Amino acid sequence: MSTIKLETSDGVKFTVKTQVAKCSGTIRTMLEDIGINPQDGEAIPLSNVHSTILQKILVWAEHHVDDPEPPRDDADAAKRTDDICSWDEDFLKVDQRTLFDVMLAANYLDMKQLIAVCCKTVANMIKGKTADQIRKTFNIENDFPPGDEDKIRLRNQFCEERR
Amino acid sequence: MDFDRLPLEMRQHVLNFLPVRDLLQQALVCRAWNVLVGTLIPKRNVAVRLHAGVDRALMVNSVRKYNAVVVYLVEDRSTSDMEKVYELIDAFANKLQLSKWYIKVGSSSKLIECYETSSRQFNCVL
Repeated sequence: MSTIKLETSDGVKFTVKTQVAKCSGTIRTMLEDIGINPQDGEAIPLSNVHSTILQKILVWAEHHVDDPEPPRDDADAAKRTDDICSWDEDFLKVDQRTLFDVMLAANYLDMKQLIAVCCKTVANMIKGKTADQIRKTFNIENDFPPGDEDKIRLRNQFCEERR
Repeated sequence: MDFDRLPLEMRQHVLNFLPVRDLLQQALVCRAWNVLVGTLIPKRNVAVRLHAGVDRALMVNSVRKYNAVVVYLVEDRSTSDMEKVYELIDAFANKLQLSKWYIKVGSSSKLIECYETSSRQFNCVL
């Protein structure tokens, strides 16, 4: 089975099955379009990804490597956040810092399925919470000048979602 | 502040999974989230719901944009109520990317008549 080498921002080299590495659109492009030749034994530099995060992402890619291409989502399916598989749920039970590091790396590596499942996970952390609960969850400071919050609340009354 | 480390399109991706009633809570989190929600509202099927008593300054100073207007009139409406609403809409027309207008007559709990239009000629749709 063919393998390639990946080198992370902190200089750690990983030997990875080519098929697994190709879960990343960025790596796929490097191999197929730019013509980086992995047979040379030279590692592909991933200068935006730390080894601890790449290790985690490779576990995800290994598990999902044989997943079929997802169907083109219709608008309703795209809005669902309750369709995260239990393996992914466990996989993403990590501290917030790690979760957001994984998201940034997945974005850099162009891994659409991983991005979607992470975004759903964060959406579930937000869903149904009050503004104050969201601030506590994400450690966000309320930086509104006095009075602005009330104005936004008043304006919000006029918003109506239509089907 | 980990959430703010995400690029804009990822923050939008996250909030796009949430219904508008959640977005409206998120607008109250901080200034950055309010701006973020402001970028998403026009892409949803959200109408601004107006009636003659709405504070004009409040709407004119809003940064939010909408793609539809719903006008509520109470049952014992007067023609001056509708004129007030027209004035209101004119005052913040730059916030509106209108394809449809609706007029609902009744209270928010009991709808008596409903009109829609893409211009100022309203047709009854109930």
